[in-house]
Amino acid sequence: MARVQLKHVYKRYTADVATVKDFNLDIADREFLVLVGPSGCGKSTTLRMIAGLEEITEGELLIGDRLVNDVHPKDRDIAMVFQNYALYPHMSIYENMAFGLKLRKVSKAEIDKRVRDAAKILDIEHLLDRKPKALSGGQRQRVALGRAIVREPQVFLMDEPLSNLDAKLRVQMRAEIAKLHQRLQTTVIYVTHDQTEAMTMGDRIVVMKDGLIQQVGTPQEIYNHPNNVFVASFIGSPSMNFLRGNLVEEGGALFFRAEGANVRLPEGRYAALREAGVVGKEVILGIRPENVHDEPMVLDTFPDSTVQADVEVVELLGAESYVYLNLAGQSLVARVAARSEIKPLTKVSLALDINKIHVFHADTEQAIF
Amino acid sequence: MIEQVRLAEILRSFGTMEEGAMTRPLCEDGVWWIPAGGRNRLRVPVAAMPPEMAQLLELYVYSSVEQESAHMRQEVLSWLGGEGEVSAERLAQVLPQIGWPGDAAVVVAVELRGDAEEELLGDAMALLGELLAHEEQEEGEGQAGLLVRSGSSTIRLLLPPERIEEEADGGLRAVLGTLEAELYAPAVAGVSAVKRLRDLAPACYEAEFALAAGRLYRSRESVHRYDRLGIARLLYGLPTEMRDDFLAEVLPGQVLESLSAELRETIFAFLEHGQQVADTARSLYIHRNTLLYRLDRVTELTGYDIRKPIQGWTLWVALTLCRSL
Ligand SMILES: Nc1ncnc2c1ncn2[C@@H]1O[C@H](COP(=O)(O)OP(=O)(O)OP(=O)(O)O)[C@@H](O)[C@H]1O
Ligand SMILES: [Mg+2]
Repeated sequence: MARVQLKHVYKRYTADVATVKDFNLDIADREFLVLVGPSGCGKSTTLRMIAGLEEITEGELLIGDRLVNDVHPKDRDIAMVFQNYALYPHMSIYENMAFGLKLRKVSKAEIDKRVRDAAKILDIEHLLDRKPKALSGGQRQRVALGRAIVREPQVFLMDEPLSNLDAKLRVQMRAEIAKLHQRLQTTVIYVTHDQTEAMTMGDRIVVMKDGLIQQVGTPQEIYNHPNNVFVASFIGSPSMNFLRGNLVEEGGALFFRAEGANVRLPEGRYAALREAGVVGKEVILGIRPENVHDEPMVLDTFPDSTVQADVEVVELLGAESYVYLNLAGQSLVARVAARSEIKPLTKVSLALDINKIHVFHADTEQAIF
Repeated sequence: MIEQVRLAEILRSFGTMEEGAMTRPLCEDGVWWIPAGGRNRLRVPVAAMPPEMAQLLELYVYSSVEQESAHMRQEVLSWLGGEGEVSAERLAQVLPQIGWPGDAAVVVAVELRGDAEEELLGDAMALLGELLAHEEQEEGEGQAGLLVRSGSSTIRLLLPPERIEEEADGGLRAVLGTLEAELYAPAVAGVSAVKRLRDLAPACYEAEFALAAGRLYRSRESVHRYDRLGIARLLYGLPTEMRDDFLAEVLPGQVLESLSAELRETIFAFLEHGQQVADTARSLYIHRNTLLYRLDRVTELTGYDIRKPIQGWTLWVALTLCRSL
């Protein structure tokens, strides 16, 4: 069992600042969990506490139901893969993977078995006799993974392992690591600042900011139901649009109004909005670029939820275009079909798919829905 | 070992005396040159000696050079380990003789954090030795770097700069990352780089200074270069007495104790966010009015208005110094 639990975990590097605050998380056996968030939010710190490379200031850490706060890292049954790693230049790839085990006095026969198994899983059997110099970036990365695999840990801890690779290789290695996870059947805790990486790799994602968990959920949950403006803006590319405006009631219906925007909100949401006490107040409306439409048919479907905006730039990207708009000083991006007729420096009417709208409190930025 | 001058005396009858100073016996184009004291040397063509004599001479010179080189290596190692005094001139003279490539060098002090056991240090030495070995280097060929233990948890390395400067500090960070992943041992490093071997003498001190200053005042980094310490150099280099007087002036009596952890966090956050109210409030998850209230409270308690740059940074320096006490 390699369930990992963090209970009310805090990290203070100095007495007066908490870098990680009240971190609570229950990671299931064999789960692929991704920690994601902007630089400095405490991802590495959290991972290093799990590894035992940093002390836990407060709270409890359990690995496989065992309290490990005071257990030495090497006895935690974990293995780490970091962004920064070096290979032993004049050892063969075989020896590179074996060296850590040799230091731990594992028997020769056992080392041989583990190295060959790992090489097979990583598809680098044919490279075992080579020197690191002769390897490509992706192959070197595999060797670094191999060094972790031969430890046969219960939990893999990976801190941005792909960020030194070029974009194309990164995409390829993402898939490799996901496959690896399937084959090894172990728990993986994976740190990245790249939301695409998080979305494509994680069974569940933990979004962090300023040392605090913002939201935990599957990629779909987080994408479709972000807890707050931060999560909504961090996850998804291009980022969700946010418009500030007022929530007004007129003839029993609720509208979001801002200069250039008049959006009738779906009736199913009225109860939530009333309960949140935002009727007659300022709110933030969120809508993803793909839910802003210019097709006449959609405009007809949502005649009461349109915005009028100035087109600033149209960016053609193959099958689709990004249209950058200005709505009386607020910016808005729409993702439309490439055949769209929208031209720069014109004024257009666009429809918002009201079933895909999010509304947030203007002050706390927490989601109402 | 026979003194070199004695060697010249023994071989005197096979050669001719000439003028010209030299430090060690040398064979060139079938001619031996032997130092003969003062500004003199003995010229002995190999053919002028019985073949057995020529072979013995070669054997003698070869083994004495080897011994001397081992001795010189030891001299450098004990200097690197902080045990022996070696002059700057001597270092610059010795290193090329033991095969040092080029004129530049880097001293790195790697400290294993936490309680480093004997065994761990041994493993770390082995690992660092392997990582920093030259790609093409065969055993016994040239000297790619030296490493030695120093104190209970530090390893010092003397390296040609290319070994760690390949990707700025990335090379060294990768070494530390590997140490962490392979040995489960968190490590930090201080670095001092010199362009000329004759400037090498203070490099050990500088690497240790960088390590100590960095550990206290740049703790979020793992590699601390002596020439990139920034404000940490001043904070760490401050004489104790001056530091204490400064603290007594800025935070007299119970002022420090009166500042709650929350207020201290606020002070750091406010200054690190460029004294911007909106940014700071957001980073602390508090309302802007709460922040304004806290800023006033700081002024009340300390007499410093951290909205003013000099006052703010004065308090920052004082609190940062306190963190390391
Ligand atoms: N050893 C340390 N001492 C003091 N502060 C530290 C230390 N390590 C990290 N920090 C600080 O803690 C905060 C969180 O750092 P951490 O490295 O965990 O962030 P991260 O989310 O991994 O960021 P990145 O994406 O840049 O790697 C940062 O403000 C960082 O400066
Ligand atoms: Mg990090």
